[in-house]
Amino acid sequence: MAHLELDDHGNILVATLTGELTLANATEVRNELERLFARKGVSDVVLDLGAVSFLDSSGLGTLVAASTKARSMGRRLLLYRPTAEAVHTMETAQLTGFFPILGDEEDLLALLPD
Amino acid sequence: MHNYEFSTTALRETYRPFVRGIAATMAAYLAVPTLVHPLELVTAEACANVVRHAYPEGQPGPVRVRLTVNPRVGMELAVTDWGRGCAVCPLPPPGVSGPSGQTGQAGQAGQAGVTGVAPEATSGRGLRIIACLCDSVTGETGPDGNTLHLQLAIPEEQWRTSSLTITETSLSRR
Repeated sequence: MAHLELDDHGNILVATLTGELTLANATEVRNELERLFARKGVSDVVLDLGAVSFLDSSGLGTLVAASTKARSMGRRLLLYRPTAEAVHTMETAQLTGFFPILGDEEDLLALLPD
Repeated sequence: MHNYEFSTTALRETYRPFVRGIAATMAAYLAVPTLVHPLELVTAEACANVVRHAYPEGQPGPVRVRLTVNPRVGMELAVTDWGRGCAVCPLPPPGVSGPSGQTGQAGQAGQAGVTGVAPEATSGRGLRIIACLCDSVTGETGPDGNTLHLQLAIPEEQWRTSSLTITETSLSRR
């Protein structure tokens, strides 16, 4: 089951995912992310991956699909504090640089409106 | 050499707990638990391939993982299904190997093959990840099922010292 906890900052939504992002829940998370981008007035969705313990190629496929959909709508999917393992998985899949990444809270605060 | 065998029904709902169990067995040999991540990732990708491609929708079948631990050298995984085989399941052809990732075409893994997955592609990355992290990847299909053989070398300093002691003791008894 996907659990996206939402924190609304006007046109920016911070969505926190807990558990894993794998084939087991990839479709569900993709649908949830696409629903968020369909919300009126949303420009960016920041996906907090800090508590995601495992990410596989199906999970990456979901992030790529959601990101591509967002771009087609003139919006952005940003990844917030992915774990070292998740970053390694992205590097192995040669997706480094595909997603805008917010490494820490300072990066997030710089993005959020005052 | 230490041999283990794990089996389950290949389902979206069951493959992750199954792979976590295998990862726990592998982690017990390693100096630091986080070193298991690449091993867990390739096991998860191989099992996810079985879940996605081996059996017809709504008719799940078994997946078996045989793990061979060669202490201070490496680990080997043989992931077997009894489903549709290479024509449908994207096993790489025999002889495909990493870690350079120069693996060329690979069954149904996409027209561009393992190495040429476009950034915006939403699938086809599982085999690329496997090819990048493993030292050898071979596929085999036949009456005994379809098996993906994966070999990973593990540097000596990454092995847990206490398990080496156990290994040496068990070897000396033989």
